[in-house]
Amino acid sequence: MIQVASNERSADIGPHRGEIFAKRGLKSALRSMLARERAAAARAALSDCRLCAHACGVNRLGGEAGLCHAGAEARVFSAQAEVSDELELIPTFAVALSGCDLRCDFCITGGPSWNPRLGESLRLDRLAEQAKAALARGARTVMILGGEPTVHLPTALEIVAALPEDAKLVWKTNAHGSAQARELIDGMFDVWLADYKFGNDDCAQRLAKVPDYVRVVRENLLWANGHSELIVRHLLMPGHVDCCWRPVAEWLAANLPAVKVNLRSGFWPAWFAGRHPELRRTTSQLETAQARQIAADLRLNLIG
Amino acid sequence: MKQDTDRPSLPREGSLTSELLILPDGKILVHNLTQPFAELLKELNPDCEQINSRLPPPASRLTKP
Repeated sequence: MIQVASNERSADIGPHRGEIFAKRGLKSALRSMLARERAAAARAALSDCRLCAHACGVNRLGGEAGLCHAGAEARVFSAQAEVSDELELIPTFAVALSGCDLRCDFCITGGPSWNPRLGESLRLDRLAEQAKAALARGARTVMILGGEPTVHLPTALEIVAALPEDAKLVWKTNAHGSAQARELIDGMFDVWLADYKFGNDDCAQRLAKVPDYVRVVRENLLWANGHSELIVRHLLMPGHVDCCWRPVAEWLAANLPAVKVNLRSGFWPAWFAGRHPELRRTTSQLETAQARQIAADLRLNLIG
Repeated sequence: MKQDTDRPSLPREGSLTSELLILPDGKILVHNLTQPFAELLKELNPDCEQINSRLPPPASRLTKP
């Protein structure tokens, strides 16, 4: 059996190819101009960085680093056309920026996600040309991801400004951004592709070293649902069906009942997953079946 | 663990990168699946719906990086 799977970039397969671009935050002609303006504002905000919910308040322009360890300049560790993501988004030209504000021990891109100095310097002109070429060859979307792109919001917005006005843009995020970041990004992306990883704060703290996770991610998801198309991803982790998936599913059913949900069963025990005994394996068929039954019972709008 | 920050991790322009994890039970997990790699996997298992659904009709496939 071949399964398209990874910790944060994979998708199980479903038949849906919905109309995801019905809601556009801004008319395309305005996007590049606004993106340039907001990129400048976002770069200025690095002097007292509160782009993610950690709100470190460090001066990244002056060489200080917060919990993400990121400086002022972004690096890119992958930029290529891929078909791993949701069917309605692929093929996508995926641009992965190094650095992340979370420390998920099971991260499948742990090296460049935890170390923002990995990867190559970003050459905006070359990247834009690569994206345009991919779009010309049939890519349906351009996806900005990480790591976590929120920590490099200035660069992400500069990329947006350099892309064709009519390109369909996807913001792939851990949904741990701040209100300030949301304001800067409002209307820039057609789709928010957001992770809801942990169903409780204890698992979030233990596995990703992030406090107050549930409140923050819910706040971001509710906002995103009102400002763009939203697809929520949950990576099913071995041993975490009842503590993580069930509360995530119940909250989505109660608060975002129509939202598209991608329940991903291809957990890959990568990076430091071995620190946690339950994460030293893939998810079992029984766990996957239980998780899908929970989704069915709650009538979630599962996609692949 | 010290990371090597001098070695670029971005593939050379024109190259593509996918990753595989092959499990003892024969299950294959794929990360960063590219279209050429999906086509290779299709040859290994032509009946795999999970791969087939990710491949557009042959005439419109992306073949260049």
